[in-house]
Amino acid sequence: MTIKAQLDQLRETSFGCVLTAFGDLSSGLILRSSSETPVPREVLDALCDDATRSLAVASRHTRPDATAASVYGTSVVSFTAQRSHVFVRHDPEAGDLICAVIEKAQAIAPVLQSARETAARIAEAGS
Amino acid sequence: MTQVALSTPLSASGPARLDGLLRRFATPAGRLARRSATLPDDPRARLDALLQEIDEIMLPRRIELRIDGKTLAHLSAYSRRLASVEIVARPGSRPTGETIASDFADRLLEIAATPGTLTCRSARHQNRPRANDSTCSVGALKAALGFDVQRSEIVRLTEIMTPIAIAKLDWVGDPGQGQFSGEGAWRQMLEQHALIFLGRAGRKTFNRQAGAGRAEGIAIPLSAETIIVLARLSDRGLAAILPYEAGLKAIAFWQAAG
Repeated sequence: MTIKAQLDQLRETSFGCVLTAFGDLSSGLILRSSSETPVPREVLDALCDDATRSLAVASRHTRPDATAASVYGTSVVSFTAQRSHVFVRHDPEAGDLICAVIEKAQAIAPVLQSARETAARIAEAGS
Repeated sequence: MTQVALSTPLSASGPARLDGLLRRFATPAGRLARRSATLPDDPRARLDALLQEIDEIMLPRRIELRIDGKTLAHLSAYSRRLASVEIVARPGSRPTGETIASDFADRLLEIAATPGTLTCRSARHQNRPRANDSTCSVGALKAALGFDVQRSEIVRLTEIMTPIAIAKLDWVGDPGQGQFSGEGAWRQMLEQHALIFLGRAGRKTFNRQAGAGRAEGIAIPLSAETIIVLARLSDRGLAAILPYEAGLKAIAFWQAAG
């Protein structure tokens, strides 16, 4: 299954999810995306920028003792009153990134779980 | 004529403010005496007090604002609407139409930011407003000042998360001086993450551009059972440790209720 197909599946099976994307944190670029209508490059750049800054708050270098090493730093949900951005990577050191944009008031936990599974599948296929 | 002194502090809240309001609304216009008060020093609290004053005015009133005893500005208001703002040292044309809220807001901000002791004295306005005078509602002023949104969004998020929080730190200004509640073992983590979130921890700043004075936040899963939520709006902020599922549901609930 291609990365594009994985992104399509994640978006189509996640209620309220309007955009999914695969990016590279080291270069700060979104490499693939899935949405019903075309998304301007600037929006994808801003999404990757948001991911970089949000994940920086959960840097591995700052991981507190009370957190799980396999969890902390692998995912962050950035939110405003209008929408939520889910950012997931397979492990805290990985540069590959899965993004999912959820419209306001939609359940976040199921999308987060599906994004984790997508990140794991892509990492497994790449290893 | 008997003069009724109405001296409810402008910053009063709850029953005291309600008593003052009821007494004021029940007093015949002809008996309404001059009302004076000293406003807080904090510019934001000053704006809050001025908006509260305007919101309580029904019959035309003229408000004189003095800074250290010298006249700074005059406001006129009626029907809970601001009709004019005249800064003595900088007279300007009367704003109309779409710019009225932003123009009045700019002048109120200038007044609130003036250093010194600010006193407010309001009295019945002798001149009746003309039918075609442009006026501005308190709601529009709050929106122009980013006031209502700033207060409501972050306060509402705090109110939603407080009952389910394992630990919580909320602040105005400095997280280190914020109000903490819950299990003490989490306090240090909340403070550290709040400082990183605000870009004050000497590392790469978070420095996200908030959209038009709206609240923003992040939720970081800590384990399969817990998340930490960090949110801010202007100088207000919240950091909370929450159960995983309930915390994520609380964010969606907050969005739905907005």
